[in-house]
Amino acid sequence: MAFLSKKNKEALTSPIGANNPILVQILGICSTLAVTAKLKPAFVMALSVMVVTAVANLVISLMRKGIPSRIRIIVQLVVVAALVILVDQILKAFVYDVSKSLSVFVGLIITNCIIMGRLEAFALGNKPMPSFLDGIGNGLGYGMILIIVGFFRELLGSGQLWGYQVIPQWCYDHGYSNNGLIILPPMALIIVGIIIWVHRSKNTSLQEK
Amino acid sequence: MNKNSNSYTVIYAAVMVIVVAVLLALAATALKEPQQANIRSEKMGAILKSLGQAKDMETASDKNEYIKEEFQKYITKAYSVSEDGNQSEMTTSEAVAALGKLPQIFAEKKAMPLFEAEINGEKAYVVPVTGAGLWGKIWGYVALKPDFETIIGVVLDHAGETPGLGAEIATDKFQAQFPGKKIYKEGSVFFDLLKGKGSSEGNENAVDAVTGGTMTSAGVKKMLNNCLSAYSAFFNKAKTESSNQ
Repeated sequence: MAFLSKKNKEALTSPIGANNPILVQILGICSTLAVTAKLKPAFVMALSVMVVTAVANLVISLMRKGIPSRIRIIVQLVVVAALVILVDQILKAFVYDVSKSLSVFVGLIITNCIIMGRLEAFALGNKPMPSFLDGIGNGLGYGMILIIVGFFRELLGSGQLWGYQVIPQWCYDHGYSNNGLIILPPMALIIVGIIIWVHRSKNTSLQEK
Repeated sequence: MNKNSNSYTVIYAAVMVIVVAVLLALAATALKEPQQANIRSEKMGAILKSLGQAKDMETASDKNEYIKEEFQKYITKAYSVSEDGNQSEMTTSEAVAALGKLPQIFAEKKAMPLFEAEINGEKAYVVPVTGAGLWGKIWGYVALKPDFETIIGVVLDHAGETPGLGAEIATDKFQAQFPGKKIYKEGSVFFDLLKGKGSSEGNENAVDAVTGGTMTSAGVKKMLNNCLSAYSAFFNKAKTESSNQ
C-alpha cells in the first residue's frame, strides 16, 4: 500500500515492539498503575489515549511550521487539553455510561507523558501522516501493556475477567483466595517489571552491557 | 516573519487561546441539553432500581425514554421534607431537579426531597442520601416500605472510589445485602457496615462492609445514618399517623 511506506510502517509498528513507550521509554507508568486493577477501565483508557495521541500528533504536525519554539510546550498542552475536554463532553452527551466508567481517567489522559513525549519528539518534526500513525502506534504499544497488566491483576486480584467471574466457586471452597495485594498499585509495578524483563530478554539489543 | 520575536509569540498565544476557548464554549453549549437529560435520566433510573423496577434499563433501545415512562408509571408524588418533620408536596420533576443540589440541601435540612411510589397497589418511599467516600462524593437512594423502617432496596454510586475495593459499593452484589434490613434500632435511626464476611448475618441493622474498602464503608455508614436521621422526625410522624388510622 502506498501510504504505508517503510518509514510510515516503522512509525506505526516500532512502538508496539522494540521501542515500546512503557517498556523501553518508561513513560506513562502512573496511569499504568492507576487504571489496571480491572480489565475494562484499562481497555477504555488505552483506547482514549490512542485516539488523543493520534489526533494531537496530527494537529501539532499540521501546526508545526507556525509554532513559536519558545512556547511550544504550552501550545502542545493546550491542544491536548482542548481535545480531552472535547472528547469528555461528547462522551457525556452521547455515551453517558462510558463516560461514567471513565470518570477521572479522562482528566488523567492530559497528564500522560507519552502524549507530550510524542508531540515533542515526533510530531514537531514530521509530516501529518507519519505523525498520525506514530500516535496510533504508541497508543497501541501503551494499550497492549495496560491490557496485559489488567488481565493479570483482575484475574489474580478479583478472580474475574471483564467483570465476569472466571475462577469457579469450587476453588474458593477448597481454600483458594483472591490476592488483595494485586489490586494495589505496587503489584502493578512488579508486573510491569516482569514484562520489561521478558521484553529485554527477547530484544537483546536493549540490554545494557 | 520572525517566528521567535516577542510580538509573534504573544499574538500566536492569544489567538490560540481565543480559538480554543470559542471551540470549547460552543461544544459545551451545544451539548448541554443532552448531557443534562442523561444526568436526570440516570437519577430517575437509580430511584426505580432501588424500588426493584425498570429491569430492562440496560437492554431498552431508548434508555432515557424507557426510564421516563417507567418513572411516570410508578412514582406518584414527591414531598419536600424538613428536619422537624413538616412536609409539603412538590412535583416529581422539581424533586428530581433538587437531587442535583443534595449536599447543600442536607446542610440546610429544610427541603429534602422524598419520592412516593405505588407498585401494584403497595406504597413505597425513596429517600436520597449523599456523603463522602475515601476519594470523593458518594450518593445513593434508599427505598423503604410504608413502615418507614424496612428497606426494599438500596442503590449506591460513587465519583471515584478505588476500582475493586471501595468501588464495590456500586455493585449489585454489595447492594443485594440491603433488602429486608431495617434502618431503625431501638427507636432511632441506626445502620452499620460490619467488617468481615458474614459478620452481619442475623443482624437486621447491618450489612457486610467492603473488603479492603474500610474508608469507603465508613463513608457509606456515615452517609446512611446522617441522611436517614434527617428524615426521622418525618418518619416518626408518618408512623404515628398511620397507626392512628
